[in-house]
Amino acid sequence: MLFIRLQYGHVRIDLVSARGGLASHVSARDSHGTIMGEPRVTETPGNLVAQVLLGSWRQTPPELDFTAEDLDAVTAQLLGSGAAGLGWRRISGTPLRTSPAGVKLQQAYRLQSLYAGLHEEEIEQVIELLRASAVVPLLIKGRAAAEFYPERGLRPYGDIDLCFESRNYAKALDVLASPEAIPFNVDPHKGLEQVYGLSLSELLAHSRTMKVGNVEVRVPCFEDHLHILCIHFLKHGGWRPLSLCDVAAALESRPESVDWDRCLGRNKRRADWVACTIGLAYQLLGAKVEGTPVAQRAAHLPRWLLPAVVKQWETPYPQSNETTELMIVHLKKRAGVIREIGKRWPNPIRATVYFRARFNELPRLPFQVLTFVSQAARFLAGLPRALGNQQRDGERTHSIVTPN
Amino acid sequence: MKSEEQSLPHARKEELLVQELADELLVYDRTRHKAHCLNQTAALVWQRCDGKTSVTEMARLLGKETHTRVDEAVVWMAFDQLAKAHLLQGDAREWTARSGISRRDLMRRIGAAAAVALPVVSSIVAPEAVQAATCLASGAACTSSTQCCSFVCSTGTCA
Repeated sequence: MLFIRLQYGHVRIDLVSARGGLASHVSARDSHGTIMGEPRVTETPGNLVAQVLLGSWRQTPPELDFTAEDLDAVTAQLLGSGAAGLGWRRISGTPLRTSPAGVKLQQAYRLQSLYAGLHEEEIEQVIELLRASAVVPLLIKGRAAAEFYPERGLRPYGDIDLCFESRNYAKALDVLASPEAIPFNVDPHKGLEQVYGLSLSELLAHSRTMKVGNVEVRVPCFEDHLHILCIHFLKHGGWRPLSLCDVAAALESRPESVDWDRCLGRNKRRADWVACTIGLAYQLLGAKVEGTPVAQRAAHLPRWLLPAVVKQWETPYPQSNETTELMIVHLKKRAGVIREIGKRWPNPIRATVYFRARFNELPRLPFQVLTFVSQAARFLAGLPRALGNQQRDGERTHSIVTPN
Repeated sequence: MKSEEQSLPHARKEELLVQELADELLVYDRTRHKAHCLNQTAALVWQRCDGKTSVTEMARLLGKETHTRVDEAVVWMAFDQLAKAHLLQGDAREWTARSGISRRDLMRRIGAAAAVALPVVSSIVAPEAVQAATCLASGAACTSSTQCCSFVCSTGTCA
């Protein structure tokens, strides 16, 4: 047995490991010897994030057994990934509500609630502008996903994701570039075929309307939307816990009769991706999957998948930062290049999706290597142009700051 | 206290976005780009500022809602805070003056009588790390004030 005692101010932490590894069990006492929290298995920040968000989207979230230290350890992750409102929901009925971390989460929740109202008005205006030009968009993710939560402020979104049919895309861009629409942060999508394997005309044909403020907006039917939310989570390497909460919240808001064939899609591989994402929502966040055709798959995920997601949740932002400009800066300085390459090392989920591969027990390393090589090749191919742009920008800045 | 004889305050309605939460009210001021949080007491008073309901009546209504006896001083204190946040029509300074009692007396009376939560109107400030998820940080390029965590987009940059 290994025993380590850490003292920080009045707080004493005992680390005890039965197997000789570090920190299997932790108990914290103040200087008077009072136990501040029950001895508990130490968790990684990613696991703690999962614990905070477990069932957080429900009308009545389950009770949370958490210490102030636990909450402190994940506050940055919750704030940065947009899950602060959900975190606040889990602690608002506990003594943690008045802790410094609790106060931060509450402020973020209030802010998110206000933004929900502000963004809703923006969506109304954008939809009306597009309608005036006879363009019908399909609203996905963000506000459309907020519908699955008991309060809209629990699901923040920065931009408005609108999908357009190819024939309307140019017209839509014209409208969005007009002075009236410029203040709105719209992310226009030209179809969803490539990423999500869904035809937009079919999506529109099955779509339903949802009321946003005073306007009716078209949103995907439940089946299509759950499909989109699942693939979206994987496409981004599973970094954002809020995206998995979307899946869980959608799943638990499902109508009585779900067309699972439509939800999973015709492509078997994609269908398995969707099933695996639902499985992650089940295993990490406690989403209810009983009675669904994916329940079996949800209980048996590839062994590497869950740890890969939990690892992503350790930081509040995506762990890979791919901007070419930033990499050029590091190359020029020749400092931190290895670290930056490490940051760009693709996570196993992204690498699998990138190669449209199966989620099975085979090692992910080959996919990661190939994805990395592909990324590096793209980076090198775009390097001359990026360098040229930087030089031009530099000259322009120089001519602005240098007096004639 | 000259409560009954005074002209009564009107809640400002223009250029405000109001979001109701479980036990508080959030108000975003589009003119000043400020966000406020009103606790239950402040919210109850603000929602009754119709220019007709007297201070005595407001204190009575507040008492009914909160199942306690509420002193008029609590209502005057709420006016004061709401006015300072520009949530009442008219000049902010006049409401404290109109109560006819000093701030110290007001606090003393409230301290002695208030079983109800004191009215609080607080500002909402974004915790730093929330910025990536919901709004743009200071210095980021923006096209409208609602994109910025500060709620202020000035010359294409978030304040």
